[in-house]
Amino acid sequence: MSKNIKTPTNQKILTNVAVVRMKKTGKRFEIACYKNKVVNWRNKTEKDIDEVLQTHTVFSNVSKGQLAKKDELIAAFGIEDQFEICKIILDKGDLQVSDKERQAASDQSLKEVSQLIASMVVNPETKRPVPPSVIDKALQEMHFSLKPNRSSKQQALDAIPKLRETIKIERAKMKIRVAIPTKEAKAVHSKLKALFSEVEQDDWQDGSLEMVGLIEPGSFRALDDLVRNETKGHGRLEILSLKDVVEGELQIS
Amino acid sequence: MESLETALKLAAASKPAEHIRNVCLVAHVDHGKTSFADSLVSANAVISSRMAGKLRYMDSREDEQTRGITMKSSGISLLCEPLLINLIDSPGHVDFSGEVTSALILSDIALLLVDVIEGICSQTEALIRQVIRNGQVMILVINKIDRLRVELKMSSSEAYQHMARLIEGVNSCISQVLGGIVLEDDTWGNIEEAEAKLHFDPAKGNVIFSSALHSYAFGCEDFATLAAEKMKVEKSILLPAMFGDFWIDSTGTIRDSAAAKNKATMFERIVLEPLWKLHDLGLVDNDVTSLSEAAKKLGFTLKSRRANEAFDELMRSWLPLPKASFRAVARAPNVRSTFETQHRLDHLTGHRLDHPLRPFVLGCDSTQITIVFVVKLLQTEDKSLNSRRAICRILSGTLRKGDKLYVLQQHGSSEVTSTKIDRISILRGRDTIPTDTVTSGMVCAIDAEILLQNTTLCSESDYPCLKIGSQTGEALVRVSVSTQQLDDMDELREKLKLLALLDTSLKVMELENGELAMVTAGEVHLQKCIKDLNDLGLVDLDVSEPIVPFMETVIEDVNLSAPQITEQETDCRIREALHIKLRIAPLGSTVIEFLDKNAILLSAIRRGEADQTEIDDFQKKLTLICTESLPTLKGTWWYRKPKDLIETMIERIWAFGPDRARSNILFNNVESYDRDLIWRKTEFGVRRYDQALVGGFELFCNSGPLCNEIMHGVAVIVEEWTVDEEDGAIGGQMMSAMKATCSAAAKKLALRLVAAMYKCTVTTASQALGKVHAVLSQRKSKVLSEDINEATNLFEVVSLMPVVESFSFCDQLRKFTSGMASAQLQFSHWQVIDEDPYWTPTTLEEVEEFGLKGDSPNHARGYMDAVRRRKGLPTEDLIVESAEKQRNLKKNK
Repeated sequence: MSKNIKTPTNQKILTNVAVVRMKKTGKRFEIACYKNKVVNWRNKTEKDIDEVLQTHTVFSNVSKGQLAKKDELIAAFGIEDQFEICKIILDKGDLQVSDKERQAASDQSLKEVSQLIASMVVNPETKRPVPPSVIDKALQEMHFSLKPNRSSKQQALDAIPKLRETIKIERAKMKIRVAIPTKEAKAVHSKLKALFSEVEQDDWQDGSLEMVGLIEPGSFRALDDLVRNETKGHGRLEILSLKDVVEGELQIS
Repeated sequence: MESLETALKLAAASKPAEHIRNVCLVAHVDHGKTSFADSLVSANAVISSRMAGKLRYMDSREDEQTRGITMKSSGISLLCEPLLINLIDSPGHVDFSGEVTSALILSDIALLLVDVIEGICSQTEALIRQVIRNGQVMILVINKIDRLRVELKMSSSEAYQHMARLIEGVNSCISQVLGGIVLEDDTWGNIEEAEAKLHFDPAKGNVIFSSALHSYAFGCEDFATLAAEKMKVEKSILLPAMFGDFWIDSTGTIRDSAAAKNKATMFERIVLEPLWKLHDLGLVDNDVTSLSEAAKKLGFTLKSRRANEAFDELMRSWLPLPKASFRAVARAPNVRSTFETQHRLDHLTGHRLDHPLRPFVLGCDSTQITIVFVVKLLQTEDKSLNSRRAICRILSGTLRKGDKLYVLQQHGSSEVTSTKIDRISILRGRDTIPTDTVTSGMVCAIDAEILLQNTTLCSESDYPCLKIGSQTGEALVRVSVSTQQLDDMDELREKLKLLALLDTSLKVMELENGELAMVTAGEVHLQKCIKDLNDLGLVDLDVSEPIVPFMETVIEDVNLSAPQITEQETDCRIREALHIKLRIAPLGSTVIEFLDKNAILLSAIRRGEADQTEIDDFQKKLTLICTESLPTLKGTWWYRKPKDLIETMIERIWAFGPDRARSNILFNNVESYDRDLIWRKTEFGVRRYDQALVGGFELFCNSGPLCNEIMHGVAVIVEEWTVDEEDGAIGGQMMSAMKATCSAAAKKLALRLVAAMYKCTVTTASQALGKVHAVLSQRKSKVLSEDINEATNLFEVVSLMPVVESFSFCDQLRKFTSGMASAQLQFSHWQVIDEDPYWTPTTLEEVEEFGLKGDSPNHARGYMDAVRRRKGLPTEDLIVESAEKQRNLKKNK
């Protein structure tokens, strides 16, 4: 037996390590956690800390096995208790996202996008909502990929025009009532009409105007501005429904 | 064959009503309906009589043949001079009870088959009830009597006792059903009279003993004739004594009380002893020579060399099954006289005594106006949707090919549609024979452009339609379907629509998120529907896991003190514009039950169509029930509230729940706000946005806080509501604000899931009993009773099982018990799951007992999470369950 080979008796080899780092007072502190567990701890679905932390000690370098110095810890955190410091680092430190965590997050946001789209569009023929499962399939067919740095809503809005090429959908419209007093009614009418995509009711009563109709959700802001500014606050705008769809369950047979 | 066809055509066109009989076969699953039908069919030489009982001719679907159960009702017209018999075979499995209903509507006579060993089963009882209600005539067929000898080795006296007990059982079942009906409906008159008319007695000729497998059947009179010849006694003297406690002495006189004197009864002596002897020779001892000697004595020569074949041959020719059955059928009322029974006619005309079609139906005259009742749509081979085929019954007049008939409306409405009959065909089981004319009383298939289930076609337009409400059981198994190719979705929609027309128990829905869903009666039914879709050309289907409906409710919490309950109110403020303050309280089981019962009235009130006197009556009853039950609900806000407060609250009810979730109430407890009362149709006016608040309440009722399922039995009590009516933007937010406030308030109470329960009846051999219990407890079912059937030595275990747990239960049961147990599931009721879905161990003792994670799984939580996952709602799922058990390898290993 060679002299060089030693059997380590007092070493604990950590496997499956996910490192959470934190820099404070110019020093780097690390803790050793299990993979795929830190995100669950942060969103409070994992409550058992021993399922998250491999050991209750704070390191300066986990992979080399160097422990953090006591005085440095006190200088940085003001306390000595390693366990408490672990918790602070766990909550605030930089995290190395593990494979399954990343997978779950991207699944989640893909689902979010398709749910968002499903909530925004209707089938133009039946005015019925489009199921998320259909949107999912259509997104897959058009090779939609997520961009992690953009919000789900933005991506959903971008995807809708492209989806239109493959399936029959359109943005669900808002149903709105506008009431304009006599003085301003004439002047605003044509501008209002341009914003509506469908006018259901166009009532002139003693010179004042009441309109009910559908608008594209995108033009709501413009309409709101118009009513507020042009009528000097006398006009009224009321949302009748956010989404003009045939709701509820429908028996086909 | 050719001549038979022409004879049939001629008969269908010209048989007088007295010679037509419409018969259907009904029984519990596996009691031998289809085998019995085989033998009857063989009488018309469609199939060889040697194959009768084995071929299952009426089961034309492939999956019916492989599974060995019937799935649809199918008909065949049989010519048996002078009679023309329309025979309808029905499925026995509980999932297909809708098919049985339509088979029963078509026919006047029900052949009720009962397996002599298994006796009365759950479906038998349900069928008896249905047949009596329809006012039809029943003939009891005691089937599989060969099993008594061959399997159970009963002696003739034992067998007699057994059969006598069975008939008594069926009769007592009839009495029970009758008692219930008479209590509900006093038009049935004297119970004894009705009983006497319906009770079975072999001497009366309405009981047939048969073995469909060996294709023989007999009534008492068969043997009475034989015995009369032999003993030189008048047949009319023998017949009344054939079945009963009578014996015959050596001089040939009939005496009674055979059991007391320890003598063999006449039935044993004359019927069973010779019969058992033949069974012994043919099926037990396999003795061909003795068998052919016995046959020679009876006047038959046997050709077969094997004992069992020879036995079949002998029995077939000696006691042919069709002969006995047709004789009993001939004695039963024909298509005209059946309507002389008042209930039969009442049932058809929807209990309207002044229905203008009544005289025509009663007359059943082929020269009168034509009335056709369409009962069941059939699948046609050619896939063109323009023409539909349906089984129908001609109630009056004569139907000719090319006739133009009107589709009758409910109240003789002005808009009358008419349709042309493209084709008429006589039913022949698997195929049909086209013909040109059919006379009144016939059951046949017609092709026409407009055909809908349960509609009446008539040659005159100004009559109201006939009404037969085919009640189907609560449909519970719901799956969403979609195609893998997006382009096929429209096709799927069309095909589903078509399928729902063909199959009454299938409902097709579009869910609120736009998905297409099939609602089926059970698991077997679901598989059949998917098979049908595949046959219609849709192969790549995505069928979701079964979606089981749940309900959500809040329950009383007895541990809470009064101040704690008062604190359960919830505030909602949006800027300065809106302030809502409300609380939520449970309604208690008595009130919920009352609301459920009056569901139809409630929706009438919502639509403003209800009768004022009915509303007043309902309000009075509701007030009474509430003042009695609510203050006794310990642990709720209602506890010990004064009576007059509750009375005013009821008076000021704001709204009831929406159609899907009616048993919820919105109370107006805002002191400063008087709105018009829902009890009266006055124009008192409501505050602006009032409807938005109700809308929010309805949203909440439709999707509860646990997993967006409907709420059940919840009171929302609004205590304060101020709104700035000038703020235009508040209108859009009001609904969602109300919904969120309700949800938040509900979360302060103990929320529970309400699950649908099946009543599960398992029949099992005793050696598999332990395994059955293992499977049952795995499915979280609660055993109610466990009885042994003396005759069969089979155990019957009745239990309650949550519907969620029931999927592939039957398969698993069969696997675990090696096929020794079988189960039937039927919807029973809704039940609150007494487990808090949010429960976690909190105190030290609890942690000690259950562990930090709660080692025993929380079922309610499991159900809730499953629903949430399906709906895409967030769940508290861990990415990895236990940190130490992750695989320590690289991804590509």
